Amino acid sequence: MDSLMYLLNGFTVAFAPMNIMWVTIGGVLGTIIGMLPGLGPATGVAVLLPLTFTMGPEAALITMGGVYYGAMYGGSRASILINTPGDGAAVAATFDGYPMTLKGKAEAALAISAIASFIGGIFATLVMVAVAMPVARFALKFGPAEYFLLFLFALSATASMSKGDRIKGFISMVLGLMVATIGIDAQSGVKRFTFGILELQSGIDFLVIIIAIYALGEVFKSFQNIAEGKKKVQKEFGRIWISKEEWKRCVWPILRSSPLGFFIGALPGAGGTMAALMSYNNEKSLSRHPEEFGEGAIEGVAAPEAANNAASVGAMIPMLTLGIPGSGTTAVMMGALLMLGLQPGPMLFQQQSTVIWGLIASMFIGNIILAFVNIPMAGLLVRVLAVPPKILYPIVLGLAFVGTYAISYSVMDFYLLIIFGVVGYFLSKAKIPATPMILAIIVGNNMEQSFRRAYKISDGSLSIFWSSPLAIALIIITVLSVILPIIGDMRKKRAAGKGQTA
Amino acid sequence: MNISILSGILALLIGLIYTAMTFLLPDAPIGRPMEPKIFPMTLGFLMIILSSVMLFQEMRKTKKDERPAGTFTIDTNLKNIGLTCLFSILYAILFDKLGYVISTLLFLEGELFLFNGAGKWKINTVVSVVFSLIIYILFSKLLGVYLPMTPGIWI
Amino acid sequence: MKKTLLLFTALLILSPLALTAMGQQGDSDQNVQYPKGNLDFVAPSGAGGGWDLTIRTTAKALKDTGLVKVPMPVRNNPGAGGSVHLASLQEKKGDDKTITVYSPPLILTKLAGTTDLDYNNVTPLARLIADYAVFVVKADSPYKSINDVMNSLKNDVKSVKIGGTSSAGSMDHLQFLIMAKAAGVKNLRDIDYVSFDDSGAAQVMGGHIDLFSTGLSEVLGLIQSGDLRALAQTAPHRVGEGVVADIPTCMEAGISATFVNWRGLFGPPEMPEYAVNYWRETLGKLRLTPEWEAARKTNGWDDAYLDAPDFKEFLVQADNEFRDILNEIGMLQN
Repeated sequence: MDSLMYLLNGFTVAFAPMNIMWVTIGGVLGTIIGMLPGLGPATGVAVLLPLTFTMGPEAALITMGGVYYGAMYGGSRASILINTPGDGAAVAATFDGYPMTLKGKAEAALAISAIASFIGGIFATLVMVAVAMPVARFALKFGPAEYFLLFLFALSATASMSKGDRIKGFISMVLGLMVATIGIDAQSGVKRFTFGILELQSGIDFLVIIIAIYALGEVFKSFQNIAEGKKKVQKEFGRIWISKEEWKRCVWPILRSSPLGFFIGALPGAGGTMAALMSYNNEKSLSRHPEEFGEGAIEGVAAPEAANNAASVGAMIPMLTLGIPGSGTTAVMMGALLMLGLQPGPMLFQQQSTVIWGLIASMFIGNIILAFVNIPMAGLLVRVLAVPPKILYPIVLGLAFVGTYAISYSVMDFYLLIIFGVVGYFLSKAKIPATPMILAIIVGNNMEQSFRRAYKISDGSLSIFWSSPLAIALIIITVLSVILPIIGDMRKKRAAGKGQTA
Repeated sequence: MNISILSGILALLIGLIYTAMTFLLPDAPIGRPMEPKIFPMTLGFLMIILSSVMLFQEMRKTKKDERPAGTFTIDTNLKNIGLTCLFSILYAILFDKLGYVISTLLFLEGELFLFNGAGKWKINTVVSVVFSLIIYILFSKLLGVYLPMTPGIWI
Repeated sequence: MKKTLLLFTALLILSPLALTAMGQQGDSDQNVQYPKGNLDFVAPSGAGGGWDLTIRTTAKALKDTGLVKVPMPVRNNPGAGGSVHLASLQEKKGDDKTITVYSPPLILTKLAGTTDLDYNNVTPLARLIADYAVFVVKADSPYKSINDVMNSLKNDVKSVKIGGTSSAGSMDHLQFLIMAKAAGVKNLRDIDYVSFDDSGAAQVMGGHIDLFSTGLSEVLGLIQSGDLRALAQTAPHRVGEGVVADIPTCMEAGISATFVNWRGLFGPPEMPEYAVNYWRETLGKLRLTPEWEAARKTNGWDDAYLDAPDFKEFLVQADNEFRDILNEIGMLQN
């Protein structure tokens, strides 16, 4: 098999001591950058780009690869420990990671996050070796109609499975979709709800809202908790590892989420955030005890972590094989490739096989090294919880603001941060789930635009939405995602009713 | 007032205002003129329907059991949240003018005063100075992520 | 408790005054030597875009050639297609340290009504490089030449769906309309333009749109591999090497129009004369260095150097051309 030969060649490149050193340095730096709110893999790669100018193309790519995976590993650290996601892909880690921390199980959450990331990354790399080209070709089948249905599925699944009241879940979703309509409408050039504010024309960055809802919302809630003495400082720290019992709960979620994440990542424009949220939904609906999700279920950390790391590998596929960057990070990496004189595209694997297979081999090595580096690093980081909340929360605020600034370099976003922080606090008081709103803000604009693209391409005929087998399959799973939870509820009610009469 | 009813009323208001605003959106110059408005209008109507249903449900619930669950009162907690918002707005105003280090130092000093109390001003000052300097050096000097400089000083 | 609060607010109010006073001391002796201290290079977009790449490459070349010896840190000030930075430049009237990059959106954002500011509110220093538009179709598309597309549009204006990466009324859209107009297509307003995020190339490859209007450097790999067929590019002459050099220009196809996606450097409004002169001279030198030529080649940029006075004239001309097209499709706002 050709690929295997190339891969072996690649390992000889990647195993050069210098390259191992680079991937380690890149990985550690990436982890640190990923931990800081607002700084994700895209900024990490862009910032370290100048450092790689002096290296050869192999070393440069391998270092950047290390930064990329490192940032993906690091992104969830802050989500788990202080409820402040470093980037979009780490949002899902707050759902159960932070509740675990509150229950004193931060060590297990950090460990499973590293383990799941590792498995997701290795799995995706293996699959990539085998099927990079076919996957890239298959992703081309996703036209505007299919994208619309995919986004619709993600949204309806999240809203219908949200905690508690279903009506409140849908209100939260519609609110998010409303926020997503702010900005210039790309299909017509019309400005919508910008109120003449320049910064609003390109829409509101979902990262700002994520930081607002989670970090600021948490700070606002903490006033009460501190006053009531609910917030305790963790003084003793266990080993960063998980029990056999916990591992058993996570195996299948990880194994299911890795392929899902890989595929969503390979779709240009979908990305790690979508992958993490979809795998979270997926596990919640498959779980035998869905009520534990959001209260600190360990598989709720494992699944999205595996998915987003697999997605970060998947996202390399359209970039490397077609020269189409599907995400901000891969766009920056593609810029770097161009600067190194490599032209991403179908010819890349033939013309530059040493460099590319070296990169793929370094993904294996990088993932292994990162898993090793991250466990002891997590042991240090967890000690953040020993900081008294009275000092920790002001620092979280400081990090939230600097993170916001790093996203857009605009003070205007500070005001959005404050407004949505208050909104987030109010939502939690009113027991309206925030997740549907966040996902709606992330996919809302794309969903509407995809619909309009399809509508324009079909000259106003709606049949485009069920004209491909792929579209029909997506419609079926969307309908199921709405109906199944309702049927489940009805069954429970009936069972409860029987229990009462008996 | 019951917070669920309050949020229902708020959601209804948002729905009404948003829907009204969608009617004021300009027509698309190319393609079908209504196109950019249809999606927002749908959202507006959906919001009105959903919030009405929620209000109706909540009203019925509260009639059933007359306990004032989760009442909304103005306490120290809300006062602290209000002050945090005020400090944040001042921070936003001064951020570009004073530069990162000075504005952050003042902001943290204010927040630590809320959380940790004025009595511990020594610790508060140490934390704010150390935090703003470390972040500045880390972002601006090591990572090359631009943070506004204080005019006239080297940082 | 109240006292501390009072003190805090007082400090907040007083400190900017004290600091601006301190800031003014250093400004008096600037005529002696220029440039002095850190310069401020700004990309009006996020990391990774065309503007970002251009200004970082320029800064690197200026440093490598030793033409500029002071530090040139690059920062990003993204938002509203560069208009956010344009607005913040207005607060820096007469400043000599800020250097920024712009391209046709500098003109378009005003015409589309996003902002009231345009090239008249900055100081043009030099036009440096150009990329050109290219119109690509799927390898097995029935369209073999740009004239096939134009003829099809003349018969039925809805028959070809045009895709691009920027929003309606901006570059990818207009560059096609300019060609369509020159080819004699009527009802420009009725041509369907579909705006995508960053996956437009995947959409044309997947057969979801008929033609993709984009920049030559964006789809180079796919043209080389034969996955996409380039019908025409918009330069006044053939560009590049290999398969790229085989792409006919629109002029050759009998469409007498060109479209240049130029990029140039600008200073803040009312930039002092000594600074303008310095940059005109330095950029004129930079353009001839081997380092710059190598950088251009790796990025696939054509040399499009124009000195400041010619550049200004060119901007007026480009402005008029865009105005005509936008007016014709009813999108002219300003």
